[in-house]
Amino acid sequence: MTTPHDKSKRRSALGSDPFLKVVREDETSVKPEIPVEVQAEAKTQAETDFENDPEFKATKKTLEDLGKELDEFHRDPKNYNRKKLEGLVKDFIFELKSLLADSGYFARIREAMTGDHMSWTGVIKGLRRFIQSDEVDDYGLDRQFEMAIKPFFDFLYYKYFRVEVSGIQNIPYGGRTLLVANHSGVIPMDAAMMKVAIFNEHPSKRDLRFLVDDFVFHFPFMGTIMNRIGGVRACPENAERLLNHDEIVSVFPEGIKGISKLFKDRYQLERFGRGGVIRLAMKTKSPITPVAVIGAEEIYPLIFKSHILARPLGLPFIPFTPLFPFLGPLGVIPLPTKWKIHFGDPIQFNQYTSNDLNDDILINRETENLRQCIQAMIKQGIEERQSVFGM
Amino acid sequence: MTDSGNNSTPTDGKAPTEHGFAGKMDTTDKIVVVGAHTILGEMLIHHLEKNESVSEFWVIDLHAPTKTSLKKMHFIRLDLIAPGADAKLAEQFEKIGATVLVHCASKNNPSLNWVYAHELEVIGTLNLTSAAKAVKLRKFVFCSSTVVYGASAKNPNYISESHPLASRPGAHFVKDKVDAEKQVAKLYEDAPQMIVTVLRFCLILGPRSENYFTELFRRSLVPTILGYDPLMQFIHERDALEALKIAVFEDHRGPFNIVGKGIIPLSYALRLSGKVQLPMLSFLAYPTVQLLWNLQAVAVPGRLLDFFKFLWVAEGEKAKNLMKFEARLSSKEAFLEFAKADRLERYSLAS
Repeated sequence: MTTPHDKSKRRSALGSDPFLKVVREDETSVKPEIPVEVQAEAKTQAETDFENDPEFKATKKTLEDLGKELDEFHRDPKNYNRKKLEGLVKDFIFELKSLLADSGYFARIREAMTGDHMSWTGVIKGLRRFIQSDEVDDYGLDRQFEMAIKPFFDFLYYKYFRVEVSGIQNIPYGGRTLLVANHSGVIPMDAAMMKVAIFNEHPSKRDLRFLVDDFVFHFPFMGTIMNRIGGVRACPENAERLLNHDEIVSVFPEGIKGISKLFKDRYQLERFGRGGVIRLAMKTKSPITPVAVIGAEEIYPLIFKSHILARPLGLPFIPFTPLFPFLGPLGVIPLPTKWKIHFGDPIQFNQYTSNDLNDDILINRETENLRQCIQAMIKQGIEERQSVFGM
Repeated sequence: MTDSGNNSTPTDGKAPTEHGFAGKMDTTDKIVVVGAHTILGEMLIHHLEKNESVSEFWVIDLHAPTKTSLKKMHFIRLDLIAPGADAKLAEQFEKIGATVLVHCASKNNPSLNWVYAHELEVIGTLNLTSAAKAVKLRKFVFCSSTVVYGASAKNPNYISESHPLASRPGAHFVKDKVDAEKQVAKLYEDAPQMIVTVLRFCLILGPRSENYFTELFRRSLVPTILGYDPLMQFIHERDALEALKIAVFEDHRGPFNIVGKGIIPLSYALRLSGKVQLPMLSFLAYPTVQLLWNLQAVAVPGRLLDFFKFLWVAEGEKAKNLMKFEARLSSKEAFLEFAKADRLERYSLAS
């Protein structure tokens, strides 16, 4: 866990300080010139400060090396020596460990285990106190658990994927909002990163509620963990209830088809369900904020997927990437692509009445419009980025 | 927890005051309670005895209530599942001039003798509904349970009353409850003038409650299923009685979920009450528990383990809006009350 001071430094260094942007946009109407200059200065100052940070330098170097290796691997996968890549990945794991040690994560665990250090029950009770609180909210979210696993996601967010966020001012301080995003990555990390993005970058620190596919709840541990960090089962009743209680809900209308896209089909949006999203927005009168996530498609380049092998396991499909399953557990590590999350302008659905809910043609048209909107945002984002790994 | 409102105006009679719902009733109403040995029936009988606006009431069961100091009670011994029970019931109702029937005679526990359990739940309810139809009762209150929704990974987080009941429940216990509900639901069409109230209680916990869940929770080593930690919902028995009183003394049509405030994950509840969990592998747990159930070593058949694995939390908004019923204790508090009473009992037994 980083200290607040440290965090602000890091944020601005990555050039994605949304709070500054929000302030700037508010102030442009009054004094357009002066704040921009001041902020630009402050930004360069912070950036130079940050780049001298040895920790940052080390991480950047490892990442650069890894990027180069991956580029090489992409060029000639057949004659590539995997040993080197494995070594680099191991370096990364070491970095993660040292990061946790530096940030006082282990110290916090030790702190939580006040009292009996010697007996086994004391240790177990202490650990439990660290990861569980006594209460959960109405949907099963446990803040203590969320905070206990947050450092890992912060590492992914700031250091691994180096997420760049734009348009965070489109998320309101209060009230309901439906975020509709493209779904990608075999393990859907886009939902997690969106959650971290809103929590870290938005001044109101709002909680994102995400909807989880049914099959997850059939598996041990997975469903429970998802539930404790605020995920609920993806069904209209849940989404409606959440929106009626003025929460931010993220929806991926592509569903499983979205995360099982082959590498050649990346960033081509699938069909958006059967218009459930638009119907939901109309029913609850909530605005839709389209979201484009760039970079998440390349974390696991899917070259082949098997449905037959997956059926006995109860999974929707089994992925085959250049690293998985051939590298074993190391193949589960995602590639360190550079991510960009863009929150678009909200679309209002206030003009529709409850009679329009039965108008299937209207709903299909709106769904298609929404899909086109997100596709255009993705296209723009891809054109803007220089390289996949952001070196 | 409790409302701080001693200062609330005495005019709003419906708001739960410190002593709960006062229960002023129409004096012409004649109440018949079926099932004196279930927790709800027992509590209701005790309340009716204390309530001053009730001059007399009738109880139908196979065995008389154990408490002998019930002055206002008239006991009628009747077997609900004997052949021709419906005619006998109708005859008795006619003789009494009954207007309100409270049906609490449903099983709290799954039973190994599932044929008898089925007879009691489904045929007993059928006899009662047909007798009620024949004598044109004014009101029919049926105490059901939220297990009728079934536990599954496909349930929404909060199940509302309009959600379809479990279509293919594995356990006889659930199947019988669903069938009984269907019998009662027929009354909506067959006797439209009758006020049919169905109360679906979640797990009732408290010092006196005895059901398959409390049997498990009274142990110090509680078996759970590894990797599954469903959100649970409990209601304290006093809150449950409060809801039943509202249903008996006021007129509300249709099904209502009667649930405690909030939710608590099963493991958290167990941890807070100081129980030790014994996690079992899911695929081993089902056959093992079924075997133990057949040997009567545990109170739960294997198929009912779904209720320890998946979500079956019900939404209490409708009862809050229409019946003005809100549980005073949250799920967590209800569980802790139960655990406290359990612990006291244990110490008193030891000494």
